[in-house]
Amino acid sequence: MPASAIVLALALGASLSRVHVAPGSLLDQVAFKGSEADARQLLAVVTGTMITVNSLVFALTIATLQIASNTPRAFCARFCATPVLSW
Amino acid sequence: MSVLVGTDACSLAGLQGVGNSGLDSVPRLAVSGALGLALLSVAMLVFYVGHMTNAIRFDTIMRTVACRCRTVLARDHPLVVEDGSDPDAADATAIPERAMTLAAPDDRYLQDVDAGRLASLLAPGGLRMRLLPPVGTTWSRGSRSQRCGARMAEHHPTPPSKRSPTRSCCSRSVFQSSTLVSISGI
Repeated sequence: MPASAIVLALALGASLSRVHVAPGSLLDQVAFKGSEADARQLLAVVTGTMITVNSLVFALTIATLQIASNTPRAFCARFCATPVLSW
Repeated sequence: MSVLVGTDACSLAGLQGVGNSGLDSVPRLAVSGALGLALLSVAMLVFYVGHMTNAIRFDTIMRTVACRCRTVLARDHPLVVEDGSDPDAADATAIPERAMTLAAPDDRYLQDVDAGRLASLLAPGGLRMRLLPPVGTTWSRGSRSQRCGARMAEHHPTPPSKRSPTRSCCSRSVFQSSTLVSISGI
């Protein structure tokens, strides 16, 4: 899923870069209105921020998996300690 | 995760297009799209953190285990009662008349039972209480935690559940009411 998202996002970014926005059109109202330097700086900031956030998400996922890996032991201990649970 | 890496990739693609675009020197739509994806990424990050913290909660895992256990039991051990009644709906313990069931108000863990204080509260009214789940048990919201009523049986530890040769159910303790299952004779 993330791999396909990368491919789709690359295609989306490349295709949107080639779209000409006519002045006064509907797209012109929502499109970015800064200069070339502004666009470059903004995209660089977004890219760097996303890399940081991705690192955070990876770390959270690994930590969660580590916590979840100990859960079955807690289950076993609890099941064995509960007298009404037996099978 | 897909949204996050997609935003990253879209930003990179837009960044590569700055100054190289055919008609515009600024890929205005690509920048707007990257901004929109960045906002979506923030929302997805908040959702992801909430989802993960909820997913590793013990109560959530117990509910999932109970749900899957019910599914497996319903699939592998279908009811064979002729009159159509559900034997799991019956409580293995005898419920005295006029007894009142107290349901757990929330997901809780039974950590301690103050038997002395309970006795002092019940004694003036001639009440007796039977504690159903043992200490250390967790139960979900709505499950029965205890019963109290006039002239109930003496307080005693949880009795062993009655087991039929094929299937029986003990409705007190960890899972939702009437879901804790013990199987014997299989």
